[in-house]
Amino acid sequence: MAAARSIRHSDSAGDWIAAIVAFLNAGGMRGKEWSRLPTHAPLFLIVLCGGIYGAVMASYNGIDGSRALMVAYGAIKVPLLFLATMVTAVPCFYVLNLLLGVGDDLPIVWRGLTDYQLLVAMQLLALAPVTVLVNVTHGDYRTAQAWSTLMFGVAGWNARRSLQNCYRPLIAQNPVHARLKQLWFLVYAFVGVQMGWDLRPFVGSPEMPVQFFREHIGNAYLETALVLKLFFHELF
Amino acid sequence: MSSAALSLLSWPAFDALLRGRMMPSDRVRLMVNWIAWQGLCAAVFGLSLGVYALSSRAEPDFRFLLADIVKMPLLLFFTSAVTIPSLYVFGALRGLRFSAREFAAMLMVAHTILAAVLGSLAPVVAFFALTTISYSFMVVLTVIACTIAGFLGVRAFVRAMNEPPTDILAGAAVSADAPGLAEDTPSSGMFSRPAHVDKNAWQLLGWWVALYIFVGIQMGWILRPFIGSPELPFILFRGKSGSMIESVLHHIHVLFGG
Repeated sequence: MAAARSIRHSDSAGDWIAAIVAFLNAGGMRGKEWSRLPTHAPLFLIVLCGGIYGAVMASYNGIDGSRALMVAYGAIKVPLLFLATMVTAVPCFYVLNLLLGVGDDLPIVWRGLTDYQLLVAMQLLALAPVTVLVNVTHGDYRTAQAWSTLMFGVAGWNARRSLQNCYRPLIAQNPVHARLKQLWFLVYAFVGVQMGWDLRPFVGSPEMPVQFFREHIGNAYLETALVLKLFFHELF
Repeated sequence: MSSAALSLLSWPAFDALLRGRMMPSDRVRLMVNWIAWQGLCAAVFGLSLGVYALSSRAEPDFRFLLADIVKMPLLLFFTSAVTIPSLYVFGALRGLRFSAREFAAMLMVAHTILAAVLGSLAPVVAFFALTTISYSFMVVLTVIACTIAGFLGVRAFVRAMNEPPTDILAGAAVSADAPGLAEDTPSSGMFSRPAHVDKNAWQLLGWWVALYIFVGIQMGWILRPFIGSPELPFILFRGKSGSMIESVLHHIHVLFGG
């Protein structure tokens, strides 16, 4: 019995690995291998990969004492960032797809959006060891913060190919999909930037207390504009 | 469409409308559904605007939230009430062969689509309302949301006008290819004149759409505040002073370095 369970377990792990390898080889598109996995497998992997990267990001200043709490917050907040951005941005995108006459393609589009998010999370997981190295060797808060922001940017930019692969046949059928794809990136980035701002701290300044949210939330765009304004004011 | 679909908030009817699969006869027959859906979607958008009064003030003010839930649907209903008579009278005079009910149904459909877009943007607006203190940012975001929704609503209205009147459809129903007629009819351009509509009538429609936009903006201004400046106390209506264009330009100026 135990041997049979072990074999089944081994097969199951093999299925997961095969599906992930095929996903990466296909440029971030889930193939038939994923049919052997549970339907919530993409969600599980997004939460797992994002959570691990979040924990790594938050561990730059150590994992003992109150910093352990920061690591736990990081592990919760990165998946939360992904999922809350999707939940906020998807309704208007869904309605626009219907109104522009491509509602029947929504299952394919939804699969593409999920693949994009999954690829971002997987890339972040792959970059986690490098982030650990940077955090250990530098130890400077600003460097850790800038590095993690850069990693999010790289993963997000790289993963766009996944969505492009999904959209290519759809655009060939109906060019309106090209505009909708651009619109998705616009809405996703617009909401995602503010969501990231709201959910900070991700890294956690050593000079500030460990908190799930900062007391002053503010608006990412207005705060950035203010910083730029001050910067140029000092420059000229 | 089944009898179950006739319930007031019928999802299949709403979904078919958004997907552009609504026959002109259903558009008129399900008019009450469109009114119900636009009321619900507009109320959801109103709710998202009201969130700002909860997060931007030292003491959260729920009165804005409750007022917005009522005022957003009223904005659409009042705009319809003010513009439908002119649409019907001028349309009939210029040869647009639709009945008063058909005109009303077209406007209700357009408003339902407008409200659906607003409702779908409600999570984004509510999210920013919850996290942003800047009143100007919220005003500009709301204006952008309403402009997008208004554009798609007007587009739906113009598309409905592109379809031949029901008597032409009824005549064509005898022919074998009648079921595809409603889908094949819209012309290539988004706002281009269909072949069966007279040029003068089409120009009139353009003027009417301009009038409708003007009424919509003015109605929104009269029914303000929707967001509620954190520096001002709650009031149901602010009155007639100022203008929306002036106000929006002021907030854009504040936002970009004013």
